Amino acid sequence: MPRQINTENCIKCDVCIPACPVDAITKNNDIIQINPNDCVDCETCWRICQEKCIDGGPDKYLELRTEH
Amino acid sequence: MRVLPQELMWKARAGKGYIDYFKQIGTEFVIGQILNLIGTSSKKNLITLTKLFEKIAGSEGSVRHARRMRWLFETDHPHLSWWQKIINELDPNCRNKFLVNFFVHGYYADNQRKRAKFHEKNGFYPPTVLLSSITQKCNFNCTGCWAHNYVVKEDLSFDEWKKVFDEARDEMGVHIMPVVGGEPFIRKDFLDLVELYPDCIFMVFTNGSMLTDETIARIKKLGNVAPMFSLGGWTEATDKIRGEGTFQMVMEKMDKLKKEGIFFGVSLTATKENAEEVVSDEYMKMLSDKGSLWTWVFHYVPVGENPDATLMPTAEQRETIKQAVYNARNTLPMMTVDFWGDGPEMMGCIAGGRQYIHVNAKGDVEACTFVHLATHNVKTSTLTDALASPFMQAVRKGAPYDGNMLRPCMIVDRPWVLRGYYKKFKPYETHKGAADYLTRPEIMQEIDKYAESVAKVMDENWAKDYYMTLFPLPGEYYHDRKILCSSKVPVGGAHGGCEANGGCKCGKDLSAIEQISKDLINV
Repeated sequence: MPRQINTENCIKCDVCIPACPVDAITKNNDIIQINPNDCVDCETCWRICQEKCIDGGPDKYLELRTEH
Repeated sequence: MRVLPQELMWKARAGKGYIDYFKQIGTEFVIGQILNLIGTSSKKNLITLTKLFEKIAGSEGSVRHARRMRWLFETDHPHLSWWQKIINELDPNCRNKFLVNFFVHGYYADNQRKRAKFHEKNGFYPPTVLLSSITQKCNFNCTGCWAHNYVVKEDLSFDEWKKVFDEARDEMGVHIMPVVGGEPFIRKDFLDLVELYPDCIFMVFTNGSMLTDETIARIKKLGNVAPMFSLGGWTEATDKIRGEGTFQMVMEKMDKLKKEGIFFGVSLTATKENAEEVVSDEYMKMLSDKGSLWTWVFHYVPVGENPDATLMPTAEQRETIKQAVYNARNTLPMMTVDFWGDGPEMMGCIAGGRQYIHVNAKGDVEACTFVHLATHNVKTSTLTDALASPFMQAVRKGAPYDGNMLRPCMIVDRPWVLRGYYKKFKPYETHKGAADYLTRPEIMQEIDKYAESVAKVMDENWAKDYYMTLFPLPGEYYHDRKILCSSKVPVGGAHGGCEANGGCKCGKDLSAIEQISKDLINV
């Protein structure tokens, strides 16, 4: 299940873009997006996002993973 | 958080000019000489040794390690007894080779300079450990082993291995070389190869059957070989997995090595069936008494063609293993390591060159012993090229994923990650069926179920900070497997179980200890 960025809270600090191991995060027209086809769900972006505007973490585990 | 980021660990220590460089080489030499001269097993001498280690430390991580050791020695932690056992009971040659090659060359001194250079040139740090499957041939056929999955017409030649080891040692500063297989001692020129690298330590994972008296005599002379015997429990469990009579045979070989004073250890594979047995207090005590100085606890991973995913130790068993290993390491004079439970010490998954890399018998550079996927072969490229491939870069970059290092594994704890890498980077399978655990629905389903059950247990533990690093940090004491570490002094003296170990006595001057703790944290 690919991650999503909550664009309202995103401060566009761009730290998640170089951190993504599969280069799935891009910035277009000043909006940062995760490409769902490339995302491998590793949660690295969730870990480093200071604003916590990316889905993920332990609480989300069941909700997101039961679809597997 | 108690765990430091990887970059901080390897950051070169500031202010290392050429004079420092020569000082460093001089100190390395001195340490070898000191180990020779002493009987330096007294606590006081060992504390002096940690101060010397701190002087030669080439990275910030090794400074921290030296201080941590000093704290453990000051407070009579069983780690002190481990060092004393090595110094008192081992053959001087084996002892010096192990201590100098593992600690000084492996983690402290000049190799840190090589690592920094490598980082400057390539943009990433090299691994500290190179795992090589020197041969795929084996005289055993154990349950759960993948050695016979590989079709290897010919193992890499002597010269090809030499090229790999040369690159690892001279360019990356790798001095710790675990050797797996197959059965390494089956290869006749193996020890000739080892002889070329007297400044590296070879930890050889072996079934023990090929350790003849002649081989043992050669190992003693070489000094840089540390056999690690594979076991799976007491007699019945070991023999069931590894073959009739194996347990008894290994016990006899251990006695021989102990008598000769050779550094050796044990490698346990925990499965759903034997997990409680291999980490029981009695079993750990037996291994330590037998002379094992290093015990690895690996977990069964469903690799190979059509593996049995139901054999993995359950989430609850993993928790038991984790606690038992913490307890053994902090109460017995034996280095005990849990391949998954010690994720917090290693800052998550170590694969892909983050801390280690595996070269198989054909020369394919695999991300992990349990990930039989590769993009490069050492016959046609260098180790550095392989490490720089997008697949390996991704493996290194992703860890530790969401930050929970108690679920470090991308194969069984976060299977969707490795599946994603496989789909995106398309590494080749190094043997038939190597990607079965990533592509066969019935196995994937089993692993998904497993990942979910592990997450339930380990996410809670992580949230509650219920884990520890290898040893207590300066200012902390180990209590027991429920409390783990805290800054409170345990009732009866320092560190939970060390009294049983002949270590601590009560009534020590705690104010002095408190001052040492402050010094070590603040300097």
